[in-house]
Amino acid sequence: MSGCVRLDRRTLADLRQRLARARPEAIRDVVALIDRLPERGEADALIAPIRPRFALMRNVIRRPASFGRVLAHPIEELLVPPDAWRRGSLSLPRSVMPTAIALAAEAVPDETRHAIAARLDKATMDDAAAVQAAGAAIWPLAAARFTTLAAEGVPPGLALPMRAADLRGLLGALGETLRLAAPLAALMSGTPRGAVPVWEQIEPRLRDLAAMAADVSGECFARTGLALMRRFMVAGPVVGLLREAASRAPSGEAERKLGAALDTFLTELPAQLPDAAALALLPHPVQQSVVADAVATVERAAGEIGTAQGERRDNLREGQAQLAALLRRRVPECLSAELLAPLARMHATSLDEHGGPASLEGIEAAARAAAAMVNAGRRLGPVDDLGLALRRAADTIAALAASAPQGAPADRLGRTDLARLVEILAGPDAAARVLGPAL
Amino acid sequence: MAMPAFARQIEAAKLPATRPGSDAALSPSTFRERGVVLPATTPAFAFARVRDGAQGRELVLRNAGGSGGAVLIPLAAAADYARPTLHDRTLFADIACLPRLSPAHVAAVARAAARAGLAGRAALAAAGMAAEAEAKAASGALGAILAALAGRPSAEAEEDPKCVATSSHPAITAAAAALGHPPETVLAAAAELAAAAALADRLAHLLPELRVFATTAGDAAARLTDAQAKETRFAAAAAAATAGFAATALAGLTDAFAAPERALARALADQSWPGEAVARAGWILDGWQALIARWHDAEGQGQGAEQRAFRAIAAALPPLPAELACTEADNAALRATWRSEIAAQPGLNDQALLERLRVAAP
Repeated sequence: MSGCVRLDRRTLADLRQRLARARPEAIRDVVALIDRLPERGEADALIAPIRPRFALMRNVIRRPASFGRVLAHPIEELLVPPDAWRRGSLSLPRSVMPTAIALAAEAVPDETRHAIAARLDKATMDDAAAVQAAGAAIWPLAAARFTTLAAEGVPPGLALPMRAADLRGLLGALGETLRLAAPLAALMSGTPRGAVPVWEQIEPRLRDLAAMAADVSGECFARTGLALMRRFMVAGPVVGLLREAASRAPSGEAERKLGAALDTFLTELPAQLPDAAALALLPHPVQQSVVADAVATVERAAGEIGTAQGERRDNLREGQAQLAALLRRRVPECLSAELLAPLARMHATSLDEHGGPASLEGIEAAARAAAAMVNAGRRLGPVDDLGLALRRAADTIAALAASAPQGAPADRLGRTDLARLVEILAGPDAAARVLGPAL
Repeated sequence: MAMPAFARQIEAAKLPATRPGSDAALSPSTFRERGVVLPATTPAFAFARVRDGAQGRELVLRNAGGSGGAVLIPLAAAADYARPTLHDRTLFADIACLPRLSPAHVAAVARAAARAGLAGRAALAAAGMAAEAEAKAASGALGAILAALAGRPSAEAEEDPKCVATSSHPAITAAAAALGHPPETVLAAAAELAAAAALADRLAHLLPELRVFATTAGDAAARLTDAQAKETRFAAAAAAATAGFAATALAGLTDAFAAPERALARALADQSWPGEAVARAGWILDGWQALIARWHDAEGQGQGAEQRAFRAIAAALPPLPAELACTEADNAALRATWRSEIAAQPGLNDQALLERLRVAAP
């Protein structure tokens, strides 16, 4: 029996749609199933649209370590969906990776490949030591192979995912960037997405890496710089640090290439931001931190990159507008579907019929996420409409409190529960009014 | 000590009651001077301490408004400084009415606020479970004391002491006769002894966690450069010192509770024992339950998350007072928990720590 999955177009489209709406736990199960297939075939296309969500679901989805994932690990920040990639971009389309993996595998002797497979057996990509050990055997050979192929051309008969010239260019870029794979991978493993690192702790390592990249080549500096911006813009002044490293580099190439990296960063910033549908499927505290990080990234990009150039200004504005639009869709949806609707049902019946007190904690988490998202949005510009939506939701809850029993009874939604929600949305003074003079 | 920027802001805002903290707030001589960790849920008051100052009950705020050092504000003026949450309004009002301050008194007040639902359903449930567990532990300890007094094996202590813990219980009457006190007095002393033993046992459970944290933080600090490791190393040293002092304080109690008859005789002879000794251990470990829980939240979530947790813990941890030191070595150890100046950092705005405070407070 072949392990290769063949799906007709309609089934594939249907599955994709269902996965797009699936909760993280369901996605985890599907991804685990696909990861176990010896040949993934079209099943790989199933998970392509939800790939950006993997990084946000690290606690749920732990991907098994493999030759290909280890190869891509240092340059993960540079990979973009094929349809988002444009010629001239410093990013790498994900579609180049199957070919790159196959070519890299050819460069690694059989014995080494077996040893790598044994080292990675049952390991996940969270196992930094296993990734680093396997990577140490893969990255230098892959870098050399890609550099050679970029210069001499790809082997004849190879199924190309794109024009041969584009592929050679991308392999060359990969080869250059992978020359710094070990320190880059170590940095990325130590600072996974979803947990903003403390800037003072990572700054020396970023500084060293930027200096090393500038010493390797302008190409390596530009792509390393782009990866660092994407991962660490949220944490601190990474652009300033790159500018310093570029100014210290002996030739002016690093400075010129940094400009290209900044352009790519801003051009592709909208594509890097979360979308409302994907955001809605994440747990509320994660939604809150994803939005806060996105706002911090956009804010810092505006402050650090500068908007003197028209194109950069336009790209930045597009990013800001996209983030504002995301909030305008997510916040009202969160307030109505995840807060007020379940609350009204709970108020009309009993706590137990709707999951008990734990579900009330879930509703509080929705309220907290909505309030935090609006607060984050205020840093982007006026969001009076969202502020008004919060106040209206608080008023609706306060109205429910009039007919709620005092306190927090075991089986019923109490006035104290409702006051807490009002507190989260509109502050303690409004909440105190809900509780009345008893407080 | 230089006036923190925040205190100057407050002065400009005509809040004369607020003043810069003395060095005693950060390197205290006594527990009274240090104050009790406040289980507040308002970000501005997270890990503040409450103490009886020269001008009445006051809050000690560290890193207020992002400044270094400490700032003191009267408890009664807390709402002028930041809008307290519903939970904290009740907490402050009840703390203001407490005749004296201790971690146990403040915990009782926090538990009452949590049981009113003001910190949410999770805190309400945690408060209920904590009260139930405490009652069960005290009841079990009383059963064990009665069994020991009756000369029965400890396995027989399983019987419900509520049914047997009367002044006419044979073990009580026998002990009363042997100790020369009325049975009612002996029963009351046995109940107090049991409650103290249960509390000491609960505190002792925190020690291994504190030691593991100290080792983990120490290991993490060793992987960083000196400049990067400052907070992590401080958190590790403070946790190790706290665990050391707490272990010493609890060791004597554990030994004493192992011989219930002698312990009962001692409790009857000295009314301050074992209450004061257990309370002392409570003072030493005050605040660490939430700090350790904060660490557990970050553990395994990546270096960034762990470093944030170390920083938040370093910024929040309560210093140990000089009164604990009996030797030069003690003196050096407790100074590991002191920082005269803490760099401005976002540690106290740590949302995860606030969440931990909310639920762990009961």
